[in-house]
Amino acid sequence: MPRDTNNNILVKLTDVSKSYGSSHPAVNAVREVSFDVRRGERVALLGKSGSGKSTLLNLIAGLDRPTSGKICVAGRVLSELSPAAIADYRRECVGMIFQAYNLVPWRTALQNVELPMVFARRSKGERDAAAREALAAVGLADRIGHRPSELSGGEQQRVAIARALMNEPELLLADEPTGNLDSSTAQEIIELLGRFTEISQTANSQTTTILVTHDEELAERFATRVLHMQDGRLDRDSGADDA
Amino acid sequence: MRFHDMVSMALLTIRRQKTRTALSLIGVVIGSLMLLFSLAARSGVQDAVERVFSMSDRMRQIGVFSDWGSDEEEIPEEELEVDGDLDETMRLRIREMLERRWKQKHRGARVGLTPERIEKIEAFEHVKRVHPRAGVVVSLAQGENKLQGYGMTVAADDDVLPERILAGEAFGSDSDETILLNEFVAWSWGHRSQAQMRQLVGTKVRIEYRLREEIVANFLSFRSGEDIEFSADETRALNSALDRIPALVEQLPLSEQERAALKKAFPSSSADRDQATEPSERIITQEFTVAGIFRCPTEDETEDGVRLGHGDGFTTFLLPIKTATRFALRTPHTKKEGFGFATVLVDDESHLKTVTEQIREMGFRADSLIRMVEFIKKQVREVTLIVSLIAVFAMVISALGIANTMVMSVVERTREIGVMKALGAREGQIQMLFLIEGALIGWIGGVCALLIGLVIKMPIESLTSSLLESNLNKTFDQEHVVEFPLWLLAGVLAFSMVVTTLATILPARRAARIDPIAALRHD
Repeated sequence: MPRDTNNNILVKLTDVSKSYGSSHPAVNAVREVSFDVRRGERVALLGKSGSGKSTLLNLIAGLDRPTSGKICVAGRVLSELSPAAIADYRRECVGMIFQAYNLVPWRTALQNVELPMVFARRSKGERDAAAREALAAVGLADRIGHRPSELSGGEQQRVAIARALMNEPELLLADEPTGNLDSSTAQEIIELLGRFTEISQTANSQTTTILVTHDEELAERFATRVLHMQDGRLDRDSGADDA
Repeated sequence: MRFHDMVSMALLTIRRQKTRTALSLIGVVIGSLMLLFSLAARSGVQDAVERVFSMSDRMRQIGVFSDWGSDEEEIPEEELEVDGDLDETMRLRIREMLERRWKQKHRGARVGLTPERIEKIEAFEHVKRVHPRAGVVVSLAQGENKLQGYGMTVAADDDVLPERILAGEAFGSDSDETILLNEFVAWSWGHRSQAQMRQLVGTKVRIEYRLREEIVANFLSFRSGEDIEFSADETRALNSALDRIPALVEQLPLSEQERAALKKAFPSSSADRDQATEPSERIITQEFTVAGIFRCPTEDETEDGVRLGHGDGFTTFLLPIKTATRFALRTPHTKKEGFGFATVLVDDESHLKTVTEQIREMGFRADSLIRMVEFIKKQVREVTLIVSLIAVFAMVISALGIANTMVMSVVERTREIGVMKALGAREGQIQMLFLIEGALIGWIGGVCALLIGLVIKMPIESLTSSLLESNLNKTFDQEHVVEFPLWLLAGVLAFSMVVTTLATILPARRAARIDPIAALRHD
């Protein structure tokens, strides 16, 4: 597996660009973005709608490939990985939280949460215990048998957080996790994310979090470092030195 | 992702889409059922046909007929020339007719079933018995009682015979000097009760065969164009008059040509010889002990083909094979020409072909029922092949339906597939999930078809049996016409799984290749 090792840096982007469409002019969603994220860092990608922050997150998640440039996560150069290795990377290294929760509607909360462990070939007993524990940690111990349609937006996002943390990922990627929630629920979700990140620091597992948001206040409250995106470019990197 | 997790995920999807799964299953069940019954009936019906023909040794019998030998000359090409403005098929037909007529005209000596040839056939490997068929019209006599009638030969171990015995017993061996009399003979001789008929057992009966007499009478009857019936005395008088022709031919007012023809037809040597023999010597006679009384076949037995041989129903007496052969060989014609027909029994059906060929090489015509059985089996094979093709066609249609359903399912589950990919599912795992779903539909459909098949087996079997019974004139008591061997059950199940899995390949590939970003945005 292609690896680019620098022990303290988990994510390294070098001149990453992503453009869509074969017609001229192509849509340049991300333009020559370069930055590093250290292990355990809490980074917010802040920008207006269409600034390229979600595209950049998808590139880091390995869901998409850059048009040019290099993305290196935990020593893996993503553009050089095979489709199977990319899938393994997403399973072993990344936890993802989406704005639309993206829970499987016909599976219960417990079944949704254990899904990453199913792909990781864990035993039924192991995943059941871990999923129950994760759901208890997000305060949904009594909702394990409920389907997404029977849960509120906040509860669904909690299930999604529990699912994202199931395989103890090194990198937690959250794309507008509060975008569909009211402000008080959004506050709860951000606190929950913050709490898990802190726990991981204490447990020395050092989960690194990249949060995509257009909410400056939320970004300031959650992140130790804020990357400002505008028109696909990295406009400003605030707090990198403090982190 | 573990295999059983994939299976349980696929099962969950199937359960979730009840209506769609049910509709897909209907096609699979219908196709599998058709395939199951067409193949089950194929082997079952073929076995049943074999069983029917295996009864009474008929499948192991070869009919051997005397034939005219060939001098093996090559037919001159000009003899086969067909001129005229004919189409090719007509030309060929006429050519074949010319060939047959030439061969008939240039045929060699008659190859009859003489004792030597019978012995040779008996010596062939796998030949169990040769049964010359000497059906003759003779006179039966006992004291003052006389009756003219047709007699047959029958094997001592014939399995039909014991059912027909009314009094006494069947032959002990093929060489017994005994006779079985038809109940009609006993009745004609005044034995009007079964008890009286039983009194005939152990008594002596004489058989009289008169040389040429009946033949001459029959020929003259035929020549007249009318059905003239000659009494025994008239028949004897006719023969006596004909015997005098050679002596009288010169005195008759005939042309030279007519005289020459008559001399050729009645050579004086024959007249001398016949004149030299006393009428009593021209009668072949032998006495037999009555072993028993037998009855004619019933209507059902005749319809079912349970009979002693050709002529059963007309025969007035039965003789053991060897005894009858010895008696028949006392007649000059049979002694010289041999028997015209015999049946050869082989030890096993598998040797029929070899023995038939050996007999044909001796110059006889030989035929067995195996051709007919093969023909029927071929018909069964063809019909079941057509039904099987229809079944496969039904399965293909249902597979197309399943493929369509799966494509729809992939579209509907695009977002779910995107989530799975985002969570780290490999393309191969996604593909396998859909393939397993297809295989499970096939398995469930196959199992349903087998269960339904087992339930409706009895009525289908009864229908098939009644069809066979009406066509083959045979009852199928406790016999399975529709068989479900294990290989068939497993084969049908496997086939339905393979078809539905194949139907899922393209949708599964499509699912595996879905772009996760687009999938996660999909509504």
